Amino acid sequence: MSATHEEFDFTAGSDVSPRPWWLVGARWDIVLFLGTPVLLLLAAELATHHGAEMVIVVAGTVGAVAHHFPGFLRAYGDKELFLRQWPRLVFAPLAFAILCSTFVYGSLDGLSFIVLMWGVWHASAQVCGMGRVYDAKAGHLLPRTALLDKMMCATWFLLVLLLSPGRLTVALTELYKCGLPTASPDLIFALQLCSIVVTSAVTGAWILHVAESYESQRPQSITKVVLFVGSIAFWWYANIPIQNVIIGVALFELLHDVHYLAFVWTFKHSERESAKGHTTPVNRLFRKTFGSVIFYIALTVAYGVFFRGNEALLSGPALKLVAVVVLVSTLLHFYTDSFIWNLREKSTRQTLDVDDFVAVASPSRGLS
Amino acid sequence: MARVRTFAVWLWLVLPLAVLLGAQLGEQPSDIEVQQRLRTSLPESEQVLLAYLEALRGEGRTHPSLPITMRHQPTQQLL
Repeated sequence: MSATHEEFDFTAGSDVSPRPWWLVGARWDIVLFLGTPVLLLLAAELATHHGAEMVIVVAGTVGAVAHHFPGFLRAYGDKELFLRQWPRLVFAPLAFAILCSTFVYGSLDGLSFIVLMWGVWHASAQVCGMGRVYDAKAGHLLPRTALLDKMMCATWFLLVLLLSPGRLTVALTELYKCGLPTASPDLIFALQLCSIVVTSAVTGAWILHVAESYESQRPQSITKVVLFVGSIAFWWYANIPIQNVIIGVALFELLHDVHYLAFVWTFKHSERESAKGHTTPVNRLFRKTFGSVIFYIALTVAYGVFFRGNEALLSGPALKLVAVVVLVSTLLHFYTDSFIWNLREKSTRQTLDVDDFVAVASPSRGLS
Repeated sequence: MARVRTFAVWLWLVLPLAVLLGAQLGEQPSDIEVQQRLRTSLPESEQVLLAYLEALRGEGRTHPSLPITMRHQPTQQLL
């Protein structure tokens, strides 16, 4: 998910009428974006009380791969986007395939650490990117807001990573397996303290900036604020109170997947609606019918079940091959998400109905 | 600008990979050594202690700092 860093030209128009707050609509935004952390928290508590944690783990494990599929539909199913980005979309999978094969077949360590760190950055970037879309819909596009949003998400996600005993253990294990020197407890404590100080400062600045914007003509989107608070709180819940790192990872993965699937469907559906009479085979999948939605979800789940199922069933060279494909899928998802949703692109803005501003400068960001 | 950014993204990926690969050129640590290092870094973590004891048991060893009477009890009881 990418964030916009385009400046809003306040001289471009005098229209300061209230903007739409929602991506889909109030009810569906609450279920699929804003209220999802609460719904998942209730589901997690219910599962824990009934000893059904395995359901969360299986769903999270399948979802972790499954949600790559809708992103690939966007990346490789959109002719215009493909023509613009073909070098990245063709050469990146090849580069990742060589990289992952080297690590898997050479029995090398280290790639898990890269995937872990990029995954945390990707999760934080997705929350930030969706928040930026909410702000764009509200007509608030100040670069300072974009920067503070990105820092807010990144610092909180990093802080939780450093304070979570489970996550920290996994990260250090991967580093030590590579033979890197041992980090002393004092160094780890210093890093944690430093992260607390930086996160506190960024949070303070972010809150002040949000409050300030409510005195201007274009306040920040309240839906963005709710999305940030809910997602960051859920990241905390999944990693700090929940001691089991596997359940914690699976739980946050579910939130990430629901957000992503809903966002892709909304985007592709809008694209289909705006291209009346010009639908591609991929876009036919995004009709606003119950059957189409179920088929979209089923295809996505099938992608995840296929790879995770084979991982569970296969062994030897076949398992290594599946491991390579899953790793390539993961890295490619992280990479493509850094540019396929970029609000700098006019077509993306038009599809999201945020094209009523003038782009002054476009130092693109939005790494996932 | 876009090219600089693309280069930065790839550098961001390649540099840590180079460090991690470079570190593996030396002698690889055993499982026990990895667990010992984790014990050093996170001395208060029960999960790390548990994993360390399991690794010791896997090698047929017991924790030297534990009282002799506790050394051959199942790990869960030790905690």
